[in-house]
Amino acid sequence: MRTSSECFDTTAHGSPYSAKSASMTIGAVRATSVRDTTSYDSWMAATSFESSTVEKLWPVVTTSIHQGSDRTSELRKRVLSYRAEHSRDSSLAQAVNDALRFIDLIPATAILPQIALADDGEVNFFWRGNGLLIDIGFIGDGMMHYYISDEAKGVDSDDSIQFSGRSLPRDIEMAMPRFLGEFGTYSHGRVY
Amino acid sequence: MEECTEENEQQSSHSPGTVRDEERLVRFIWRSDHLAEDGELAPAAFPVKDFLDCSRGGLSVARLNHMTTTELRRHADLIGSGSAKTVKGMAVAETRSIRAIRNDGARMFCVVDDGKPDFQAHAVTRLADSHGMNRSSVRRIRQQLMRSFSLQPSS
Repeated sequence: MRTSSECFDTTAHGSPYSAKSASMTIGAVRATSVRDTTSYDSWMAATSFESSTVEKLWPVVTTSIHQGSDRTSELRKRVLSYRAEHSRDSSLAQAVNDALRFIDLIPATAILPQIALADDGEVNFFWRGNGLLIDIGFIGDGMMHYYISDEAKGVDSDDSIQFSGRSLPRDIEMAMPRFLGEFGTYSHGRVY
Repeated sequence: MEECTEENEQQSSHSPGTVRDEERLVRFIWRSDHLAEDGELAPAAFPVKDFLDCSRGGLSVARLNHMTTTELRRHADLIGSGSAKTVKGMAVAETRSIRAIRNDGARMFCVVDDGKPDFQAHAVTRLADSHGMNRSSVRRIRQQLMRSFSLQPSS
């Protein structure tokens, strides 16, 4: 049984964005967004739904997934363009690989981060606004370097951890801004 | 312990002198990645490595009070020359505000002159004490540094 302190490993069930079918994708959403109250069995049950059934049950989530998936593609393109522009930089190539794996781990209900390539070769992701800052960097050293400041939750922490590409640090996952509730109104990425 | 003692003594013979508190400092913004979607400065405009890698000398800035408009334009053009660089704007801060950044009472950044033969108004912003700092802890104080700068559009 997963404990509350463990990171949620999306790759164990397949990335939400690499899922082969809509129903599989929605299953991942359910597991990610309500993992504290939903057992693995019910997650598995959700994946067996037909897409149309799922859309009736969770129309907002379905909509957000379709739009979110497109934005993830843009993030991926940006990251890959960094590698293309600096093809001789082996550190950057590793940073790009880590960044791509990071994108895979972003929960489907999370608003996507902004991305930038810093002059020192760091692939940088950040969320900023309304008292929240999440600043994450990959430099190609196999580590994830990050800082989180969330005034509303009283969070102020930084860390550098070995990045496995299989899970996110719990504090990052908890801090990520989300769509306005699972059944709420989808706001196109600017709710914070 | 005395902090940033090098600020009190001219570091480069090419400099016009030590950097005074009232001087304004400019950081050129030359890539779209330096700007966030809302048009504000992005963290990438202040690379972490500039603070941690001694060989990089610190975060490069230009001393606005020692530059003519022509020199400012020339350096913007120099940065903009080659590759795909285009100056998007300038981030400007008062030296005093950078020097005022403190954590637990200790100063975080020093601002020292670093004039070059062809760029006398060059200066650098360095960590006051890099002991124990790493790529994650620098992010924390980088946010404080970024708040000192305001973005001005390129003219």
